[in-house]
Order: sequence, then C-alpha cells, then structure tokens
Amino acid sequence: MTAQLLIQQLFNALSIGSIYALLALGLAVVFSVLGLLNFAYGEIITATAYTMVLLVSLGVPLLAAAPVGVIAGILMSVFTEFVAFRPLRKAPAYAVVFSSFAVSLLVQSFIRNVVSPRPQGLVVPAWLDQVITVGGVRFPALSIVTIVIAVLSMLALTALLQKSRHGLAMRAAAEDFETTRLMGAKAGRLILLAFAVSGTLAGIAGVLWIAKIGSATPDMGFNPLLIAFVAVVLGGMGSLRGAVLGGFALAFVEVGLQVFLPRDFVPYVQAISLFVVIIVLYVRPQGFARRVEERVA
Amino acid sequence: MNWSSRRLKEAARTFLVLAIVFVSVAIVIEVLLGRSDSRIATEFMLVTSMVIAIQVYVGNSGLVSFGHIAFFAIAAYAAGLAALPPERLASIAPDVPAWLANMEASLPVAVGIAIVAVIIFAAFTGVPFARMKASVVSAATLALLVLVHSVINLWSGITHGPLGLVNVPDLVNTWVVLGTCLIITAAALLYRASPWGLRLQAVREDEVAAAALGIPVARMRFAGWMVSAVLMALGGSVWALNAMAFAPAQFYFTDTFAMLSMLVIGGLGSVTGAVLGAVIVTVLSEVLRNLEGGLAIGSFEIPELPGIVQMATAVLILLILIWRPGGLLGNTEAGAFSFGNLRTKGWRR
Amino acid sequence: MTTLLEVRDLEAGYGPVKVLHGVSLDVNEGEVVAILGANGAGKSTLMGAIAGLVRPTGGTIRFRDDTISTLPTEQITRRGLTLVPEGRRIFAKLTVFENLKMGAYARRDRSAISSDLETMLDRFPVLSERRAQRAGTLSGGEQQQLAICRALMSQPTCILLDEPSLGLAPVMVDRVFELVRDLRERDGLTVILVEQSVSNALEVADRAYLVSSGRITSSGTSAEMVDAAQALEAAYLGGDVA
Repeated sequence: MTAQLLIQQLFNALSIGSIYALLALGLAVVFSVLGLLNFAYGEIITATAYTMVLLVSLGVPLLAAAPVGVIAGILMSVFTEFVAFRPLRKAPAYAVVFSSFAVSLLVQSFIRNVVSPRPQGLVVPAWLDQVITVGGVRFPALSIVTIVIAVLSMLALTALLQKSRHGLAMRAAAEDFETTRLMGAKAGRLILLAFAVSGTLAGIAGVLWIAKIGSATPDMGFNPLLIAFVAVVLGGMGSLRGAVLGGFALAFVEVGLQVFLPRDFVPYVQAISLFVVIIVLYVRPQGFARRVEERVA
Repeated sequence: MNWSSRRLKEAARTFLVLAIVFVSVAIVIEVLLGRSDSRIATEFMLVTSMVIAIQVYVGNSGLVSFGHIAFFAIAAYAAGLAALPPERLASIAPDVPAWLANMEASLPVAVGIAIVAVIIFAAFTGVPFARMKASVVSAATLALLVLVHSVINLWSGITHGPLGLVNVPDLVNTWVVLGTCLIITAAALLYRASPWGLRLQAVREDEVAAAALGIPVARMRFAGWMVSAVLMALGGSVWALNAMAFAPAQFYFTDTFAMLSMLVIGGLGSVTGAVLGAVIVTVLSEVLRNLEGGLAIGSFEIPELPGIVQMATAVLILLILIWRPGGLLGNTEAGAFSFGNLRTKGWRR
Repeated sequence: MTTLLEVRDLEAGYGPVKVLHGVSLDVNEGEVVAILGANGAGKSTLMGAIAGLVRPTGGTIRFRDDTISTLPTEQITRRGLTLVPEGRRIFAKLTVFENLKMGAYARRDRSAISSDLETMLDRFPVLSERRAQRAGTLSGGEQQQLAICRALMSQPTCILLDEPSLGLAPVMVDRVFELVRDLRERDGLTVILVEQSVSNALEVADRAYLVSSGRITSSGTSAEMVDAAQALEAAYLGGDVA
C-alpha cells in the first residue's frame, strides 16, 4: 500500500464520511429530542433529489436548485412530523415506527405513480466534474465541495445549538424534555424545530448525494436511511458527536473493506460492514457514547 | 415459576377458537379446492402462522422487528437446500457443502435443519440486540434484514443468487400445514401466558419499573427473540417445502411490510389479532391486486395503479394507528370472552 | 389577603392508578404554605398537577382567577407559576449560566434578561464562581440553589418547591431554608413547599396541609400543625423525635 493510495483512500473516506456524518446528524437531532427514530428519514433525501432533478431539467442552474432542494427536504421532514409523529404523541413508542414507515412507503408510491418508476438523471455542471490531481492523488471537485459544505453545516449547527436561545432549548430538551417544558418552552414548537433542523441537514446531504450518484429513483432513500440508522446506533443514543463519529467510522469501514477485500468479495461490502457493526454492538452496546449520565453527589 | 391459571385458561380457550378456524379452513381446502387454489390457501395459512411467530416477539416486547423475515429466509433456504436432491443442486448451487447437498431430506429432517440454522443465527444476533436500547433495536433489525438479503442475493454459489431455488420437493400436504399452524399457535399462546411472556409484557409496559422489580430485561427480550425465531423457522421451512420455489426478493421489504402491517392492523398484543390482521390484509390485497391492472366497471374506468396495494395498506396502517394504536384487537384474545366473563363484565371490555 | 391559588376536589393519578382523591387547598398571596406527609402520600403528584405535568382527572385548579387545570405546563409557567421539581432536575450537561438562561426562556422582555442574570449571579456568589461549569459537577446543595435560581429567572409570582432539602447535608439544608425565607421576604414570592423534613418546613411556613393517601387530613397554622406533626413523626418513626 503506497502512501499515494493511502492518501487517496483517506480522502475518499473523508468525503463519503462527510455525507454519512450529515445524514447521521439529521437523524440524531430528532432522536435526541424525541427519543424516536424517523423511518421516513430517507424520503427527505428523495424529496430533495427529485426537486433538484426537476429544477435542473427545467434549466435552473445547480447552485440555485440546491437551496430549493433543501427546502423541499425541510418540508418533507415537517410533513412527517405532522402525519406520523404528532398524532401519535400519546401512543406507545412502536407506533411511530409503523407510522413513519408507512409514510415512507406512501411517498415512494406517490413518486412511482406521479413522477415515474424509472431513474431520473441529474446532470452536474462541468466545474463540479473536474478532478484536481496532486502528486498522483485524485481530488474530485465534488468531493472537496462535499467536505467543505459538510464541515460548514456542522459548524452552523454547532452555532445554532450553542449560541441561540432555541438551540439551548433543544439541548435542554435532549436532556430532559419535561423540565424544559417546565421552563415555558412549548413542546410542539421545539419538536417542530428539531424536525426542521433534521430536514435541513438531510436536505444538504441529499444535495450532495444526488450530485454524487447522478440519478434519482423512488426507493433511493433507503440507503441513506440505513446509513443514518447504523451511524446513530454506533454513535450511541442521540449523542450528536457520536453520530458524526459513527458516520465517519462507517465510511472508513466501507472504504477500508473496498480496498482490502479480494475483488470477489467487494459486492459484500455493505453486508460485511453491517456485520462489523453488529460485532461492535455485541462488545459495546452503547456504541461510541460515554457510559450513561454523570452521577451527581 | 408461577403460571397464572387464569391466563392459561384464556390461552386454552383462544387456542380452541383458533384451532377450529384453522381446522375448518383445512377441511375446506381438502374437500372443496382444486390444486392451484389449495396451494394459495395453504400458503396463506403458513403466512398467518409466521405472522403469529412475529407476534411472539413484537407483540410481547413492544419492539418492532424488521429482521424476522431474515429468519424466514434462512429457514426457507436451509430447508430447500436440504430437501433438494444432489443432482438438481449441482447445477444451481454448486458450492453447497457436500453433507448438505447430498441430503435429500425428508420433511422432519429439512425442518429440523432449518430450525437449527435459525437458532444459531438468532442466538448470535439476539445477544447484542437484547442489550440494545429499545429505541434503536428496530433500526438494528432493519440492518439485519439488509444483511441477510444481501448475502442471499450475492452468494450464488450456495443460494443460486437472485434466481432463487426452484423445484424444491413438495413434501407438504394440507394436514402438515394445519399441524404447523396449530403448533405455532399453541406455542405462541403458551408463551404469552407463561411467566416469561408476562415478564416481557411487563418490560413492554414500563421498562424502568420492570427492571426495578427485578425482571432481567435483556434476558426476557432474548427469550422472546429466540422463541419467535424458532417458530418462524418452523413456519418458514414448511412454507419453503410447500411453495417449492422462491427467490431473495421474497424475503425483503414487500413481505416484511405486509406481515408487519397484518400485525399492526389486527392487534399487536394478541395472537388472535395477528390472525385477524392476516385475514384483513390478505383479502384487501387480493381485491386491490385486481385493481392494479386497471379495471373497467361499465363505462367507469379505473386506471392502472402499480403499488396500490402497498399504498392502501400504508394508509390503512396510519388510520388504525391514529384511531386505535394497539390495532383492532389490541391485547384482547379470543379466549378473553368466556361465558363467566360475559356474565360479570358484560360485552364491553 | 387575596387568594392566589385555589385547588378544589382535585383528582389525579397515573393511568389507572389514582393518587389524589379530592384534594382542596388555598394559598394566599405572600404566604409560605407547607405540604407535609409521608412518602407516597401524593405530595409530588399534587405539585405535578398544579404545575401542569400531571393531568387532573377531576376537580379544578385556579391561579389568579384563571382555571389552569387544563393548561399544559408551558402555559402555566408563563402565567407566573413555577415548579422546582423533586430531585432538582437541573440540566447536567449545560453550564450553570445556560441553566439560568433556560429559566428565562419564556420571558418576553429579552433585553432585561442579561442584567437579571448578572443580578442573580451577584446574589449567589457560589453560582457565579461556577458559572461556566457544567451543572452536573455541582454539589447537591449548589444544584438546589441553581434549581431555585433557575426558577426565579422566569420572574414567577408563585413558586412551588418539591422536597428542596432531599438528599442534602444538614448545613446545606439550613442554607436552603434560609433561601426559602428570602424568597418571601426579599422577592415577595408566594411559596408552596413540599417537605418531608417537618420541623424545618414548619419553621419557615405560615400554614401547612397534611396529605395522607391522597387526601388532606389536616391543616392549620404552623403553630397548630407542630403538635399534629410531632404525633405524625412519632407514629412513623416509632419513637421520640427531637
């Protein structure tokens, strides 16, 4: 393994990991406030992707279509909250698994019937297709942009959470929702905010995702969903930091497997990484998270 | 270990009701239905029994599992591979180990092998899953489903890849199917009324309180996982030997969603609910499937709507969840209505 | 004396388990009222119901002529009735400063908040010292102070304290009760105090109610309750209590 190959793969892993980390963060934000997983989360990516495909096919430049795509993602996320979560606030926890799963299937069916079951292509502008080569290592422009945007997004999220009043409320709610309500914070608004933030992060990830894979299919949301789930589970209980770590870890495992596995086994990368995750959870059920809460004197 | 006699009696009464239903269906199949219709009907019975197997875990623990179809898949392939004679296997699945390939297993052996295979797999996955936090187990089972499906699809040397197994010997008749249904139903009801089932239900209701009472949460979840896996293996292997041909696509989302929706609609907490849900969803699917290809009623035309079955089921699930989150029957078993109960408590429950 | 809080025939519980079976009490403006009773008598449920965390199944609660029994917690706090919950429930992962800021979350007068924060910290130098520390690292007594300050940040008219001395060393307990006295003298608050430490509570309260098995079994001024309470302690502890 040459230094060149190592750097190349590290860069790939970073770039893929950036998208995975964003995906994981979006899911973790809702989970930290609600304690529930959104099984329609992948459809946020789908909504963003199809919006962008539509706009770009109408001649809108990618840079202009991207923010609209993100907005579509936010709308999808908020829609899920209103249809699958809010009505079931008092229902047992498993109910939202089914309801969000049902929303996911409905969206997929909707796209199949109203748009098309066939893949819809997205053409990426030439400047994003460029590759910068330094010392034999390829740095695709899109990958660089992905890393930059992901980092900026995470910084923005941190700023929101640390500096703003609403971010503070979300952090408080993640710790103790009931006491946060006691401070006068309206439960419904907080949850809505969480879904909106989740939709923003997933929307941004969706833009990067569709730019990378180039075509949209009705069931495209499943892969991002799985990635987000695995990363959040690895990262441990709604810990945002853990989710980011989980996302990068998953990416590194996948890229590592692709590099080191004999060619015949490469199709098994996904299966093996999932297997690795199960082993990790066997040894450490709480994932990357620190051991529970601080016990106070 | 204290068994609750009240619950056992309820379980027995429920079994009686469901057994009568199953036996009647079996008789109808044998007497009235032709070959192809009877195959559809026995398949439906086996699917129902597998939904019951899922209910054993999901209903008692309150944890949604997408991974039970993975058990189904493993059982089906294990039984299929065991039952297929070596000549047929050589061409479609050359990498199967000799001891398995040379077996031209009879029904009990094939089923036995399937159950052993699933036990190993379920034990291995069950341990980490039982220790996980409740809110993330569902996601983990989803990953499990993907894992198994992906391996089955890719490892063509053993599974014949996307094309699946065909010409699996038909070792199953209506009475075997009936027997399978009865065994699974009995086991499910027994577990539900057993001290382990009750403890798991306590964990379902309030994990913190249950732990405070000294109930070993992870162990109870593991027990439920294993029991339901074994039952799933039984149903799945008999299904394989009845269906005679299947492919990886069978063991992925469409079927997972179909079976889970039967549970949700009928009632997660009861075996009767599982059966009821199976009936409702199957009838609904058949009716709608006829619409999928488009339909003309007089001058009124309904256009082609692919996936309408799924859409309708999804909408139905949402409505039931909002209106009655526990499903139509909730926790109520058929056997809950004994004459004694009715006299003292009346019809309202 | 104007009645600030009026509870009539309150029934409440958790699911099928009913804890309160028709509780009635009054709290007047500027009073300190103690709610006494053994463990499990329903004191915390009563606090929870008043603060809106537990939905009453019967009866009414009126705060300043508004019926609050059907309102969610958020709105009750915004009307000036704040609860300091049992076990303090400070946000351990947030800093002391952030905890206080959360207390002021619902306030409309945003510009006044920062100066209020400083005033609060000046008043409690211990908290000021630790303002950037994570609240989980504070000692029990400091956390109690923090919890009460956090509640004060919302500028309440009436403050409910659920077992403020629970789990604290005797020295801290004294400090806490000094603070309770301050709340009335200095801040002009009406205080409702749930306590297991009967003697401490009666020293600081004007009146008291005794709750037993979800019902009010006796009430009166502190002086009147002292005798009754001594009998209660003797009964529960099986002997003389100093």
